[in-house]
Amino acid sequence: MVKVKVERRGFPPIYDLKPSEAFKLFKENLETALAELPSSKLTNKALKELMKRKGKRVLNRLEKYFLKADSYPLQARKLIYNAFYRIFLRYQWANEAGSEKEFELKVWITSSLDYLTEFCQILEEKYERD
Amino acid sequence: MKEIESRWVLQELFVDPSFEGEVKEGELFLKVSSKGKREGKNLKVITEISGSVIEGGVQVANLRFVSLTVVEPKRKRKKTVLREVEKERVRELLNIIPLYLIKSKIVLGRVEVEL
Repeated sequence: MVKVKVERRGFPPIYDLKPSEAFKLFKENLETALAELPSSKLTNKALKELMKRKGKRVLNRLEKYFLKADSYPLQARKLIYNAFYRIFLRYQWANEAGSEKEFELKVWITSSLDYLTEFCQILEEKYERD
Repeated sequence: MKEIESRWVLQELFVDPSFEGEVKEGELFLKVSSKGKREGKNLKVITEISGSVIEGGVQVANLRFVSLTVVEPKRKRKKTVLREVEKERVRELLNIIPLYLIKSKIVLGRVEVEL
């Protein structure tokens, strides 16, 4: 007997969002995640400082790119949806990590930024050639 | 409530290529999420369903389906409409999934659904 279990997912659907809108949501999540880290720890403070300067540059670059990506063909937008889906899923996992939450959030912040940067580079090479 | 349009805009199924055969004592785990947007007197509902087929504690297949439904809610509340559409789409998905799985040589045994 195969049992069917249906549950509610933690984050809302993102399929109808344009790339720039999905990125906006990501940015909001990133800000809440950063605000949740207590500044009393030195590593948190360092990360916050880093995000203020270098992080802002990276975010601006990504934001510009995703605005451009709004007019991409459907196939590319599906790839972008897939990327953001993964990021939001990981954000939810990090939030549910219990005692490891602080650490997981830190990993999520840095790894998702790296992931998006790399993802955009590959996408740009593919779709901006002509 | 009247359904005006409904289609699956994204259908993805990933299977474990090393698994073949019947899922007997397994589990079909689905996660549902939906959102509604008003368009005149109609409501556009996006339903995302992701989940996995589990056999013996191992995920043998993962799936992700997105449906776009346009309904005329008449006088119903938005939340009620969303729940009803979700339920309908899950039922529809339960009918399609076995066909998809058979193509990848996975046979789903008798399915037990709680209403």
